[in-house]
This record gives sequence, C-alpha cells and structure tokens, in this order.
Amino acid sequence: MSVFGNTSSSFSFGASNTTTNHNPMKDIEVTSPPDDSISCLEFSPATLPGNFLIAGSWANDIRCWQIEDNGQTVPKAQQMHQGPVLDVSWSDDGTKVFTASADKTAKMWDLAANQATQVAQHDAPIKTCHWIKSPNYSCLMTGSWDKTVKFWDTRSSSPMKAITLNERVYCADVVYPMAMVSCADKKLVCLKLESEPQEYQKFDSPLKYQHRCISIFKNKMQSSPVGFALGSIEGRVAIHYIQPSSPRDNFTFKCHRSTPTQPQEIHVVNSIAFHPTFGTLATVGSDGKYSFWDKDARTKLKGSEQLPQSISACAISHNGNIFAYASSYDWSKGHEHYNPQQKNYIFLKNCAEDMKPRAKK
Amino acid sequence: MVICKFYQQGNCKFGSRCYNEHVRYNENRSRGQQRSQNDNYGNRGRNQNYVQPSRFDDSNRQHKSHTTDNYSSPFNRGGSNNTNFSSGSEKHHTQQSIDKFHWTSKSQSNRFNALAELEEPPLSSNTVQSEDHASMFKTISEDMALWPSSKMWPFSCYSYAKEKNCVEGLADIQPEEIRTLYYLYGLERYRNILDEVELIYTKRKEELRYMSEETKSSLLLQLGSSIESNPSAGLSIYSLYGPGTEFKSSSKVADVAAFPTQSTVNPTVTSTTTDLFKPAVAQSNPSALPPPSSSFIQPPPATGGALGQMFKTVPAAETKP
Repeated sequence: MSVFGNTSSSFSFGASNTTTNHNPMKDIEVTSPPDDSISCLEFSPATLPGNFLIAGSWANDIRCWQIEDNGQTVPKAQQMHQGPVLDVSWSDDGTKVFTASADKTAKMWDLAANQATQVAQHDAPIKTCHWIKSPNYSCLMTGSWDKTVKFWDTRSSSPMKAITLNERVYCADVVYPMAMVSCADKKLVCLKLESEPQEYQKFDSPLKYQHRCISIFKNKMQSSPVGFALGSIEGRVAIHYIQPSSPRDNFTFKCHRSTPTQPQEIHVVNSIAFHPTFGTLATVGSDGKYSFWDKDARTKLKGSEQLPQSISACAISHNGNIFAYASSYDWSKGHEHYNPQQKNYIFLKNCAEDMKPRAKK
Repeated sequence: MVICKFYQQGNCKFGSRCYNEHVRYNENRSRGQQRSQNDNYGNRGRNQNYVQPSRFDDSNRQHKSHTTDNYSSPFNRGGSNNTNFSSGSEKHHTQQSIDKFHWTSKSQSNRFNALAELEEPPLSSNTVQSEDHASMFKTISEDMALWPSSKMWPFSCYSYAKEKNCVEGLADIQPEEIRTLYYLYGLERYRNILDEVELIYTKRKEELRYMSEETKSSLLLQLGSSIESNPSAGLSIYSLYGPGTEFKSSSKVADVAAFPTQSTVNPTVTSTTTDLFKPAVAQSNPSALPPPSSSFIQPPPATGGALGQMFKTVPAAETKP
C-alpha cells in the first residue's frame, strides 16, 4: 500500500524496524522527532552561536534541538499550542521563537526562560509568521486564513497594523525590506517594510495552479532582496525577479514529477529554501525527494533518492552548511494515506559542497 | 489578440505551436493603447496587448523613470512601452531594429505567419480571436483530462496560462485546511465534507474537459472581462475553522508544566529532556487520530447545518471587481 510506490524494497507501511529504507540518503537523523507531521523547520540566526533547530508539528508542539558540529542533535526544550503548529520564526537576536498555530494564536517563546506568551490573535488558523526587524520598528507579521496579514508589537494585544487581502494567506516570506505574501486563487502581493509595512505591488501569478510556498532570494552580493521563488502544487517552481532586466529573467521549471514525460505523477512542492551565500535553492516535495538547483545557471545540481514519505519541510542553517528536511506526511493525498503510527523524521545533511553553484564555463 | 512578446525578441520556444500572435511589430496597436496603459500598476489583466520593448532598445529603457511616479513600479510594462512608441523618430528606429532582428527567426513563424510576412496589421480581429479561443479551450480540456491521472492535488484553482485569470468554479483549498478539518472534527464529519467537495470539483473539471457550448460561452464571458477572478469567493470554509471552533482541550498542558526549564543547573536535565521527548507510549497523541466519540468533537458552528453549503453558488457575473 505504499503511496510513493515503485520502491523495489519490501517496505511495508507501519513496520519501522527496517532502518535502511526511511533514510536512503544516510543523512543524520535528529533524535526525538515530533510524533506527528512536521509543518515547519527553521534554524537559528547568525546572532546565536552554534546551530539550533526548531520544528513545529501537527502534534501541537514546537521542539528545539542544539545541533553540534559533530552532528549530534541534543533536544533542548519544547512548547505546546492548543492546535497544530503551522509556522515558526526566530527573532533576529536568537532569543525568541515565534510560533503560529491552527488554534488562531501566535506565541512568543522566550528560550532563556522557557516561557511562551501569546502575542497574536486571528479569527482563523494562522498559517505564516515572520519576525520583521527594521531600523525603526520590530514586529511579528502573521498571515492567516481569515484573509488578513497583521503586524504585532509583541507588547500589545492589538495589532499595530492589519492589511486585509482578498483571500486566505497560504504562504509568505520576509527578507527586509521586502515581504511577499501569496494567497488563495493565486494572489501575490509584495509589501515594503521600510517605515511601516505597506502594500507595494500586486503581481500576476507566473503559475497556473495553487501556490504552495514562497521564498525570497537576494542578489549576487547577497545584500538585498530582488525576487522570489514560488512553488505550486503542480510540481513547478517559478523564479521571479521584482525588476527583471529582461523578461527572460523570469522563468518556471518543473520539479518533483515522477518521470520526465507523460504519463507522469505530479507532486506538490512543499518548501523552498535558499542558500544564504551561494544563492542556490533547495526544493522538497511530496514525492519524497529533495533537489538542489542553481537558478542562474538554470540547472539541477543534485537530486536525492526517494524517501518513503513526503518531505514536508526544509531549512538551511545560517552558515549554509546544514540542510535539514523533514520526512512526514503532508496530506497531499488526503487522509487515506495518513498513518498516525508512521514515524516522522528530521534529517540533517551537510550541503556546503552539494549546493555550490555550477561553475560558469 | 495577445501578441507574443518572446517572438518579438526572437525567442519564442513554442514556435509554430504558440498560442499567441507572432507579429514582428504592432505599430497600429500600440497607438490605440497608450491611453489605457498610463497607470503605474498596469499589470492587472489590462495588458492583454502590451508590447515588451526589444532587448536592443537599451536607450529607450532608460526613459522608464519618466513615465512612472514616485517609486518605479517594476511591472510597469505599460508605462515603459509608452516611451518606445511615443516619439516618431524613436519609433521608427525601434521598428527597424525589431525587423532586422526578426529575419533570423523566420523559422519560428506560426499560424499567424501569413500576417507577419506581409508586415501588415493583422486581419479582422474575429479570425484571430476565434483561433486563439480554440487553443485556449484545448489547453483547458487537456489539463482537465490530465489532472486526475497525474494525482495532483485536486482542490486547486486553475488558469489556462500564467498571468491569466483563474477559471470560475474551481476554488482553492490547501492541504493544511483539509487536514485542520480532520483534526477538528474527526473522520466521519471530515469524510462528509470531503465527499461533497470532491463531487463539486469533479463535476466542474468534467464540464471543463468536455467543453459544451454553454461552458465555452461562459468561459469566454468570464475570462474576457478584466475583472480579477476570485473563484474561491463562493467558498465558505471559513466557518468550519473560524471563530467559535476549537481543538479539543489539550491534556498536553500537563506536559509543559512537567518540562524542566533550561536554566536549571541540574546536571541530569539533559537526560530528563530526552525521556520526555521519546514518543510517549502511555499517553498517545490525542490529536493524531481523533476518536469519533462526540465528547471530542466541538458542537458544529452556527452555519454548520449547511455543511453542503461550503460552496455557495456564485454566478460568474457576480465576481467581485
């Protein structure tokens, strides 16, 4: 009954004693992973010495591990929400973690005191949360299925600003001074954050189907944001520059499809992560594979073997050395393929070599 | 109809299969459009016939700032086009450079080749449009046919080409939304909701696949209008996870209290931490498989009686501007 079938090995759903199948890439397995699907992963910022990984899951918890240089993963702490956690975000100084949940609240987790306090409230599940650090203000940006994006000064219970959009927020990303929000019905909005967050521009979607994930990328010098990568449910990613020097700069490419030609199975792209220094990107999909791409050379750098479950989230550490990906069910095939007994995993891989851009000829 | 901007730059990868019009220049068209493309945010469904300046016109590109206010809108294709065709002499120069370049791309002529070769304005717009529509219907029909077999996520909006309006009748629902409903309501009610939703999508996809005349005309009506599409407007999923809905009260609150704080000096903190992280056998995760018993299911929201009303019928004409 394997969903991601064509695995030649006799992997049976639920029998987790075979240790070789669930980790075909032989990557480092994070200890004590969450009990239910992992919805989001994020590494600590450069301001914090060392590497800490946060994972939010559908088991209502957020877990924190310290990732040591030798690859050891040490569970550090966890917090709970009343409902599944949908997004996490670190503060710029690495002392707080913000968590957004389907229980319509977002919390601020003070790691030193290990205390979490509610800092945001919406009328529907909060799908995205991002910490914004600007010279004149700092706030938490939350996007929800109640069709609003709100900005919260964590000291106040009412938002400092709210932007109403036409549709439910599906994904968002922030790289100061730019924020991108994508909603249902393929709506795409760019916000500028300089003096206060405001709507800057609406974009026509470069894709034909539902938007699933978005990630902003910077220019070659990695000094300022210039565009975004948008993943859809149709096994496709669009690379889009805000100010392209020529229309050919913007393009889309197919990924996470079972075969190069029809008939093919098309999988959703669950998450996109950009390497902080190389500018190359990683994509993960419900086909259970991850891929590294060079968007400037327009080539695929590396593809992984297929994991038995979909890969629901990914993240890259601030120094660009560690690629983390979560093997857990993303609901892309409905509840029939959901097995609560199935173990979920988070794997770590050294990506410093594999994500290097293709050398220019 | 829609002019192929890539062909104008000599780079249309679809060649003869291209659904857009391959003309080398569109002098007559642009004149008529300058007036309508003066606003900065000119990229919301109004730029059906915009012209992308040729890459060779770098000098013209620098005039972009003259036509934009305050901060330059990056997608002011309309605005920047005005500079290319506003002054007579410049225009002539532009035409020449485009024409010269396109001699090399003769092989990329397509169905509109007859028009391009003559270097005349296109024939009556009726002919052009109906061919364009035929290809649009074909694309939609093919995409609908492929959708189920590719096992793609079924509850997604759809447009026949990028930067185009979504087709009515196919709303957008994310996997996480469906999953939230499962975690809120349990299997039985979730399945009821899903069955109705699946029916609606399957029906609409079949309509679009088999393209009756009625479907075609309503599509033309909807896609021809410049009103931004919002197929999910009729979706009232909000009430299912909106105010008043709650996940079952968590017995996991106890976990947090039992959890050691990170600041304790206790050297055994690490080991305790690891124990608590281990998948708890005794206390199985209640949210993993919500039991169907009613004590765990919240009373349905006020509008819940109309579960099947998750999709209100919204006539196409009512799509909000």
